[in-house]
Amino acid sequence: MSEQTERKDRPPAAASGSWIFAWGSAAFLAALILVSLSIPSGQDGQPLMSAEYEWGRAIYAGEGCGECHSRMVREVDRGLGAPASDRILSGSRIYPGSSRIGPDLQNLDRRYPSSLLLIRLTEPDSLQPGTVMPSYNHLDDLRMNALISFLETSPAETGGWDAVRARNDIESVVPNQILHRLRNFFDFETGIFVPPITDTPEFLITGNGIYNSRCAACHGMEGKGDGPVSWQKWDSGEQSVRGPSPLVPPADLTGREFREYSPVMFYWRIAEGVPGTRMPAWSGTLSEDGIWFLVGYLESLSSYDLSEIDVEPEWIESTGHFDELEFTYFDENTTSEDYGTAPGESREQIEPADSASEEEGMSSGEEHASDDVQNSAEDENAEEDSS
Amino acid sequence: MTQEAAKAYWRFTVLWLIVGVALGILAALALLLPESLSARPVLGYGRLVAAHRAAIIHGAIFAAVLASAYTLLPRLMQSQFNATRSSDILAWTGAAIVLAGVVTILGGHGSGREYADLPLVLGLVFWIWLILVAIDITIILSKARALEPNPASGLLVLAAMLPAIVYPFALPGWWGSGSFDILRTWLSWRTLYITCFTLAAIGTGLWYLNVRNGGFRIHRGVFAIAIVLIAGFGPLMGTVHVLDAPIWVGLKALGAMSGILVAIGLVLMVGMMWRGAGWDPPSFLFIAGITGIGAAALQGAMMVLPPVHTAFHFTSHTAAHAHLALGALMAIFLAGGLIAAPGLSRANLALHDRMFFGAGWFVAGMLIVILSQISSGVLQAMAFSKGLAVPDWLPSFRWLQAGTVAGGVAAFIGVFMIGRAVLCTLGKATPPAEVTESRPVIPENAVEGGEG
Repeated sequence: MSEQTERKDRPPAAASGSWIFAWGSAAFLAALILVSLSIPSGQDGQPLMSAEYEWGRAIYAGEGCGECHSRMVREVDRGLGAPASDRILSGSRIYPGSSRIGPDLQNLDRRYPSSLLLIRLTEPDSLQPGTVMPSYNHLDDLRMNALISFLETSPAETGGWDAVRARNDIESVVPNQILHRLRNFFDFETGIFVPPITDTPEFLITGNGIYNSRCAACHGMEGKGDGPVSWQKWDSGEQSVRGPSPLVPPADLTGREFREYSPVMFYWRIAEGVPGTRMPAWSGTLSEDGIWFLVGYLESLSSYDLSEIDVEPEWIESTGHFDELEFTYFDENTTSEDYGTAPGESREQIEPADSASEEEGMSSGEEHASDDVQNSAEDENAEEDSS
Repeated sequence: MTQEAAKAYWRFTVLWLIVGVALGILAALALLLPESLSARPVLGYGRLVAAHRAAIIHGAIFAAVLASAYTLLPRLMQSQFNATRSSDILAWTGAAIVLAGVVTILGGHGSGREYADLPLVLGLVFWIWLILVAIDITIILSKARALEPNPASGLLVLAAMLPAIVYPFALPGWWGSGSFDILRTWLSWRTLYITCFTLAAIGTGLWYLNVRNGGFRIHRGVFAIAIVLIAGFGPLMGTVHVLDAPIWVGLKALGAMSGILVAIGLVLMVGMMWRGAGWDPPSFLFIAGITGIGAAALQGAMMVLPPVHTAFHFTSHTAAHAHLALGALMAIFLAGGLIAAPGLSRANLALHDRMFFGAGWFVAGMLIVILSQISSGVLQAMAFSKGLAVPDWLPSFRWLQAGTVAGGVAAFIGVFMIGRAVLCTLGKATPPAEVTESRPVIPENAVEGGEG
């Protein structure tokens, strides 16, 4: 049979399809390479770090530290999660699971003195008996110094809004535009964000009033997502003009993930709404003050019983006139300590830890599950009980 | 003939499976006894687990996909394939690249990237190798005569060639920022290549069903829809959780449906086998694999539910999910290998019991590993919740890794037994009969042997 005849017998689709795939792939790859060469590389224009930092990053990646540790501001956004900004490993996505075996290593420079970090790396068992963390004694002095230099170089020092997020444990999903909008509340010398909220009774009462009038219909009087128009009531036949999304019910604002929301995250969600749900954007309805009153109230929702407050009559009169309340956000003499902390929550002070025991009592933004998880859970429960 | 290339890929499948499982056992030991192993840097958990992934994914699974393709395509398309001079060389080249990658990672030079830990240079070389393999298969197909493509063969071709396109998404940011980063945000590398592997596994499975049951007919339209659901939505939507939009909840529900479809297929198959020839080692592996894929698809869809997601967002849980999915795929590949490589002829019935034990060890071992990792994840979730006191009777995280070690050892025994059976009989495989347009290539004794 001649070759020509043989070729006629071959189904044309199979042969031509293969060649189309081959040539198409080649063209696609060529285009990919050409386009990639035209795109400027680098990390959002961030300055190059020192050689020691880069070396430390390579050691961090090569030793597989990311298998047990993350180095990002962890957040869980209503259970859907999002990849945190991870400049540490260039071009990578976060590993599966946002909660690792070990603790998050963000802001180590604020939590550990270098000497303690060295002990952690060389004799982990001495600080935490029974830990699964291996010893890195095999690293020579140069490599160890490079690794410590990397670990202690917070993204805050590289600048940009990522730095601000890192310093303030602000979730990575919060857009830069929101941070820019709130720039007046940042001390750019220290990178510290000072939210205009307090835990004073009048502040919370005001926030409560706004919540009751705007939010309780969906989120319920106690914030458990069981308001009159929540989806749980939908099936009973009750209907509302602004019905809930059939897929995503109103959030339970007393849930664990909301306890760990930063004030900026709350602000963003309230001001801009939540896409794909019935949560509207309130920035056109509430004033900025009103949003912050609401933020302060929501932060107290899970841990502060407002019924315990002795309400003064004049406070009640002030609700509904919240725009008229004077409120000093920030001046040169104001520090975060003047504002105190939100009730029921202890904000991690940005101070180096004095001892390992302090490190064990981690902030709400951190979690760990080392092999002595039982002790950790008990310690943290004891802390909450005493707070 | 493509037999030499197929043999080479089957050898490397077994080799990298053995190496990869061994590295996994060592990694679990590193968590169980860190003070004993960490004195040697090469035995550090971070290096071992990355090397384990490289050996299993880049080594064993890629080799299994190509082994299935080179072995089954001639039979499925009822044509005689003539391998190029490069086919055999490419098999060895791929193994060499993976070997370099594993050694580099153990030396502490891994890239630290998710599921693609090869250093950048080796990653680029691996990508080029995938392109060359795709070209090789294209050339083989173009030179073949009287091809009769069918859905199973199409899946295998797609599975063998698609990695050449999707692998760049695993490479680090040498692309720079810009649109490709957007793509890599939307599409997870691991979902893309799991899609490829799933396609190959389904193609293998369909061939096996055809062999086992004397023909398996399915309407092409139904088949296309099933493939989209099983191979498309399942893995692809599995990691679209990065998008903060509840619409993906609905799509993940569709992914869950794919698990249900697989489970339905499983029930049908079990029914056919009860009426038919009964069990044999490849059947056992194939059913275990199908069940595993269905369970992984359902588990992946469940992860989007907020309370479940909080628990599943721990590394141990997602590691269990990965072992379930990839272990199931490997079970299907091994099922195909047991039939395709040695030819389950009467002459090889002496291997029958040994292969059954091997299959049992492998499946049991994987189950123990998965249960151990799920338990570790539960422990982490309970500790993370703060409000939950971890019960005293629950072993610590560290000692739960003993389960992973035990399961890994069992899986290792199974892989060794199956691998030995495959490799010992590779050289004794009966070459396919002379091909004509109407005569199938599948050896008749492959069906008879399964009835033993």
